[in-house]
Amino acid sequence: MTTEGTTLSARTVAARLTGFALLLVLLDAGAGRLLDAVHATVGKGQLVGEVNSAIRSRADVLVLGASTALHHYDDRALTDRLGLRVFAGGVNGRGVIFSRGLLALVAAVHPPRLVVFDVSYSDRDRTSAQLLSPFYGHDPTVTGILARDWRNRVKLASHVYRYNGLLLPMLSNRGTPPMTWGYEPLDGALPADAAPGGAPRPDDGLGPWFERELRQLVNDARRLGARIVFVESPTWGGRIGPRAMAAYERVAREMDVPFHHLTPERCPELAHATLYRDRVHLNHLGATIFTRRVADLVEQELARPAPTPVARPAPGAPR
Amino acid sequence: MARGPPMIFSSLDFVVFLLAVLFLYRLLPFRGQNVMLLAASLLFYGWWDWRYLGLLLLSALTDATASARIGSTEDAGRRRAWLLVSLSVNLGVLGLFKYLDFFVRSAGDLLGLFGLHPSLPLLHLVLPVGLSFFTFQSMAYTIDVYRRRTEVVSTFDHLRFVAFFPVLLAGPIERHEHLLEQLRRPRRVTAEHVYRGVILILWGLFKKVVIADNLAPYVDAVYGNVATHSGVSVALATYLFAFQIYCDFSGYSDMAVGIARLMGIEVVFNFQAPYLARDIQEFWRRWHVSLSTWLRDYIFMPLGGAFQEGAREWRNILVVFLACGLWHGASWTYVVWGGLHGVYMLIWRLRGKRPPRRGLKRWIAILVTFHEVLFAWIFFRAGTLAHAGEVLRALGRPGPLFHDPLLANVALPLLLMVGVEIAKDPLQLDEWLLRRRAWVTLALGLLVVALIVLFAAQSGLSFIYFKY
Repeated sequence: MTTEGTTLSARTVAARLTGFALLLVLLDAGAGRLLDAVHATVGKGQLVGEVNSAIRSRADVLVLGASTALHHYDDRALTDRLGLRVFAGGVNGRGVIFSRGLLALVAAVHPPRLVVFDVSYSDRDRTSAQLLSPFYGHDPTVTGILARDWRNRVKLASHVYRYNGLLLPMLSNRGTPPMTWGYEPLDGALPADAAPGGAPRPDDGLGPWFERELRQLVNDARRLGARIVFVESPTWGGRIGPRAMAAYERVAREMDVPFHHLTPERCPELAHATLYRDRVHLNHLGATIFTRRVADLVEQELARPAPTPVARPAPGAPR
Repeated sequence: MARGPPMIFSSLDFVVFLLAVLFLYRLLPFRGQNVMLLAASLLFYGWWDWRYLGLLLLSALTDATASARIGSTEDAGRRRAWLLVSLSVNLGVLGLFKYLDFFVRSAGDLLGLFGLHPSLPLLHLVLPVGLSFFTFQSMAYTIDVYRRRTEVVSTFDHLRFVAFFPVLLAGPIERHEHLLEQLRRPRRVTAEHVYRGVILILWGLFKKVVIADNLAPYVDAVYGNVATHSGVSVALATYLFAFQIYCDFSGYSDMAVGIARLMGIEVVFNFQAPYLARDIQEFWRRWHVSLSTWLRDYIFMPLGGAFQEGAREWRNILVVFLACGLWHGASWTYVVWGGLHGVYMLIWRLRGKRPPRRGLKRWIAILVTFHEVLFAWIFFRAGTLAHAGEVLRALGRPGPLFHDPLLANVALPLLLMVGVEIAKDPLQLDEWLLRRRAWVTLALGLLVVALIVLFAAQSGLSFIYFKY
């Protein structure tokens, strides 16, 4: 195909392209504000509602992590037992980086006394924190996490881009009040004779950055005056990969973070296949039993002397 | 030396690269533009792994030398010998990097049928990106010089023709008489070039990052674990793959055409709404046009084309389509895919009916052709023949539809793409929009940008055709 015989003048093209660019900028600003307003009204749903509900929970004990943090911790039962507001703030497929951001957002409203970090390795593609992008520019920790890469900074300059992938979940859950509890029970059970086993979950892509982020999470919690504990959730053979686990062990040891392995090997009451929905997740009955163990553990942690708060880094210091 | 991902058109790294190229292009005189374009093209290819630049240079320099020698002699024997040198080097490189392990493995499987299990060595070489594209583009020049259809050009000219970055990694496969003629003369970038180029880049980007990249997880999830999915899920995944591969490849091609336009250079269109084809012959006039015309001109016609009747013509058709399948990859699934298209074409030749031009019959013909193509895509997408068999068996399995909420993101974009394809056919989008009122272009542009911003997949996936 040829473009001989030009029909558009340079002035027409320049005017059209300039007009198009200006309209884009104006629409981005306008639609961005509209999306901000809608986002604030979403209280339900995994992608947006879970985050908004965690922020507004005013939790004293905040559970962070991925799907096991979402499906294993019955926060209503924990709240009843402990007399403290507990919120299960796990979000499917999210890991340490996302948890750092969520902790900062929650603490900006009400700093928790204890952070229970359910260990996982879900940061493989490092896009898991993108869920926090509606808060870009509002919170320094979230902004720091998202603006790490120049490509992301360019994209996030668009206000609307901060809602990339979130429009439909927002529209379908708009106008819903925040969830009181984050816990999501799972139905189903493995057969009673199902043997535990299988390969550990993959931890490919893990590098020094992972441990750096983990240390930062511990420091962030302590700077907020909160204690932090690591918990390894029980699985029926689906433990996290050995390199990720080694990183958790190392950070826990070096930073004096209590690390509780609530695995079936150490908790005989959880060593029954029927308590598991699949290799990685407990069902509701399993979660109920697990929650009792967690309640003991939280009580024990809160009874310990308060940790020394870590000083906030000086402005301009590397994060 | 670590091998990075190729610099893909949909990445911000490429945007920076392109802006720098366009800035220098605007600044430099004609000769400077040519040198800069070659340097930029080599940088573009070397971004993936600079060591593989050697293969690109080997292919291009061999053809430049062979063509010069062919052009400088009238001795038929020498001319043929230099042609053989070119074919041997290009096909040798392709064979070594793409096909050797496949043939060794197949030989091992064959021996296994006779109870022999020799330990055959495999090379496990990394397939260089765009290898099949640039070797075909380069080799065609030598063949054309041999046939006296094109004149001999300098090594520098041939090198920048082969390495021209918009078409280097995944085509369209260009010809000397079209692309090089433009590269050799001073170019004028008009406002309309820019306007049309921007339209195509945006449309291609939309098809790639919004549709293809969002469909990929569903297709991968189902095809990656067929045993656990119902027939309806497998069928849906197959339909979605048809759109994924079309949007991936045509999105890349549209962007390639648009990027070249920003430099005042026209590149051939590779696609023309292929799923609106009314029969299989028309499909191949609309799908990957630069490859189908290449195969027609350099394999089908030399074999005798359609001028021979009966069994010979059928043989020619089958040979071309089997070659087409094998061009895509070293796997029996591609051979079966190509063979199926060859059989479809034979049936079409035997029927000898003209496709219906309008009305319900036209739409029925489009649907039938689409489903023929769809059936063949199963083999294209499956990793092995056993996998393809598993997919076919799974199509009859009852069970619920595998639901992925993320798929909702792609519903509106897919509808928009299909609607625009139907509306613009038989024109290309830029041509069609130029014939509409300005507000149509503006509205479509805003909608497409909004969909890109709101629904573009987070993880930038590589283009499927980079591996061919």
